[in-house]
Amino acid sequence: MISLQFSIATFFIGLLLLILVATFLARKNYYRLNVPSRHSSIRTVIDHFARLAESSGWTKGEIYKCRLALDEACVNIINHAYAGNPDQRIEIVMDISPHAARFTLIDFGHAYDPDDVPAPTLDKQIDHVQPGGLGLYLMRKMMDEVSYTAGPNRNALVMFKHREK
Amino acid sequence: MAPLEETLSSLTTTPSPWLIVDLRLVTYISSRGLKALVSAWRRARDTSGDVVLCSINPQVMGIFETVGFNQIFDIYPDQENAVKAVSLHQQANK
Repeated sequence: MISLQFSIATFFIGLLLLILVATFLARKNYYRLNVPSRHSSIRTVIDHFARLAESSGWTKGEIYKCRLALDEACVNIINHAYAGNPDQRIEIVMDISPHAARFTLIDFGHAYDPDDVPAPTLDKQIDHVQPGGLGLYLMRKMMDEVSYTAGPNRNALVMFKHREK
Repeated sequence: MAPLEETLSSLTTTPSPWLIVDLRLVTYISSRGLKALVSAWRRARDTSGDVVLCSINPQVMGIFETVGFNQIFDIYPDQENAVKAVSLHQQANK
């Protein structure tokens, strides 16, 4: 009798866990990409993001902003971290839910200090800003949080955005 | 050089160029496109010309406002209005 009760309890706990995991997976879109450091890779990254975001109910305007931030982040890695070398790799993790998006971009190239990159202003001539400066400025404007960690072997850029209300 | 940069660059090499850039079909712009536009604007202005913009998609306009383009470029709702305004400017400068 005790054994039967234990089996039933185990079954229901298992079922509950299964429902919780299924619910979690259904509301989160998680994707990991590893692309070559080429401008042609940016389209692949953005297409993946757009599919995930659309399936999570993001609006066109929200997708536009994240797309721009992702585009600028990839361009900065390709042009500056890798100095245009097309044979390196960019690792990208996208974590999209109906409420927020988090992007982590990892490169293995030259690091920089984002605090040393001044925001472009019209009086400082936007076409003569420090390389990558306008891209970084746009990333910060499009996303809610942008953080950068430079490491000895790899650099990680993390961008986060809440859904707009 | 990207096609937009190349086209704008070739069009602004003549003295006093007046350019109307119709952005009706542009649904997306990144820092590269922004730099191409502002470089053309600066080259034109340096020789008493100008670059004006028209027919801007609302999302692209949002990016222009973010970087302050609405403060430096003359922006018109459509090509007809842009042509009228440029004609008036050119007549006034004669």
